[in-house]
Amino acid sequence: MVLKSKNKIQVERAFEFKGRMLTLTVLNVIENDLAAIDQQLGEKIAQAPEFFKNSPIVIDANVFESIDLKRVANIIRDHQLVPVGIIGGNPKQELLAADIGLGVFPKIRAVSSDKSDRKTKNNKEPETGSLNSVTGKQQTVENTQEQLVPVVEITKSPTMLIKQPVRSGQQIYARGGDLVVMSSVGAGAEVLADGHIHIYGSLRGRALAGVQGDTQARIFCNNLDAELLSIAGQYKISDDIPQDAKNGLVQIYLDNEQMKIQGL
Amino acid sequence: MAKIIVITSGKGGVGKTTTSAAISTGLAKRGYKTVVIDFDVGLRNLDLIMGCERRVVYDFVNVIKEEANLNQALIKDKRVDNLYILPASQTRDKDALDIEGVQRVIDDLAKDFAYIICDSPAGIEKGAMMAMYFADEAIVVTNPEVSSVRDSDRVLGILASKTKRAEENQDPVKESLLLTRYSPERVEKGEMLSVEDVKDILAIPLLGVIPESESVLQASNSGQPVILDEESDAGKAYEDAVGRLLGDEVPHRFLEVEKKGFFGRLFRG
Repeated sequence: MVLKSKNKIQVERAFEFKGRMLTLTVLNVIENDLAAIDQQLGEKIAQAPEFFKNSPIVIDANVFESIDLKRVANIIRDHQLVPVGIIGGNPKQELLAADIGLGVFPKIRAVSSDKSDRKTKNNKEPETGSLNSVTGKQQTVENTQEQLVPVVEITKSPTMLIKQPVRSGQQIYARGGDLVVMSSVGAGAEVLADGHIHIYGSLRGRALAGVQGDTQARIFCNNLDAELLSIAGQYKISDDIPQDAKNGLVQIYLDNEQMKIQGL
Repeated sequence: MAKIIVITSGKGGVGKTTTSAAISTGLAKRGYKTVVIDFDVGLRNLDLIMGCERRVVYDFVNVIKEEANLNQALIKDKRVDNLYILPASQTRDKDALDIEGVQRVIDDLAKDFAYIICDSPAGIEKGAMMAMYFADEAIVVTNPEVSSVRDSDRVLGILASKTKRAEENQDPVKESLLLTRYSPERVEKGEMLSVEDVKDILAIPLLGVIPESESVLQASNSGQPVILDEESDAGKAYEDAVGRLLGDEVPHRFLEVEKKGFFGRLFRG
């Protein structure tokens, strides 16, 4: 699914690795009662058999250390779903998963696991098993990304270098690293980075550093005329930026969750 | 090898068509065989400004749809040799343009012409995309006010990513800035962005500054490209811009408030 072999012509390069953002369905166990899970899973699937048929399923082993993974996987298979991996298991479960042919998704960061837990609690009716479709920026998807991409992104270059001005309407995201813009960021443009953002021209658009939650990330720019500044989710809009901070070389950072703008 | 130049801006009413008419006329006057294409299908204006609206029989869309051949649609200018106009259709809309059709017409024109000037419609929708897609060079027409500058910035971003040159990883489209409706008096009063402000924001080379001038409106209304009005400041400024487009070093004029001396006051009133 995530591996793609495209190049049939070039024999010396029979495949390539690609990191892709995908939606996966996660089976979140609420009660450790396998018979109930089996029965309710059957009922759930009966509502939309075509939708579920052969769907890849990730088992969230977060809650129960004692759960019998092998039997859960078999129950899933019995319902014509395909268990592909586990997430949030302890080391013992991870070993077991490997034994029974399941992949292991790396542990979720505190922030996002927190969110998904809350989501589970708020959204779920009290049933023993629940299928929780996870999309966008939530847990499994990020994990798919993290598991596959580092080979390409982090070893190659964690810093993204942009030599041209970033124009109005353009958006640039340095995933997994820093962003260096050698020219200006225009009004209506948006630059994002998981790490720091360095702008050697004027910043007239929006700059968001540490978008995955890194509170140590900073923004550096020459002439600050930003529409919006954000570090790890803390933000300031143009009107909140003091006039006297706007000229010259400036850095923006978080100090105890307070955004500071300081001349250099 | 014909050079394809798009006249674009994003914002409407900044002087794209006036500029297209002036630049194409200027190039033809200097002996280059030039055709100017109106991409503003449905809001055809170029033929009015070029003063050939009564001679339109077939148009660009007819040629794309193979309802007419190029020679039937091209209108030869009566004042300047070497100048041809390919008018837009007034009864169709932008959906009548398709990339293969436009490519075919441009390829055909390229065999015969030295310069192909594409007059883009406003906006960043299909018509504008088609006008810029095949461009080698882009003249970005901007008024010295923030919304126009912002739109130009957006268009520059699109030129760098959505053109044929960008998609095929060739050398980028060569971009230059033409600042129109410039009034040094209003810049001095702080009512208008200065040339330096705009250059600083857009960060592309300056092709020319066309001063605000009554002669532009007169020229449009009489269907006479303003560059043919050799007495007017706007006409002279366009003439300079054409020189720069061809690689001449021409100093910029009309950037400062004119200091009228005694005789100046007497004679120019």
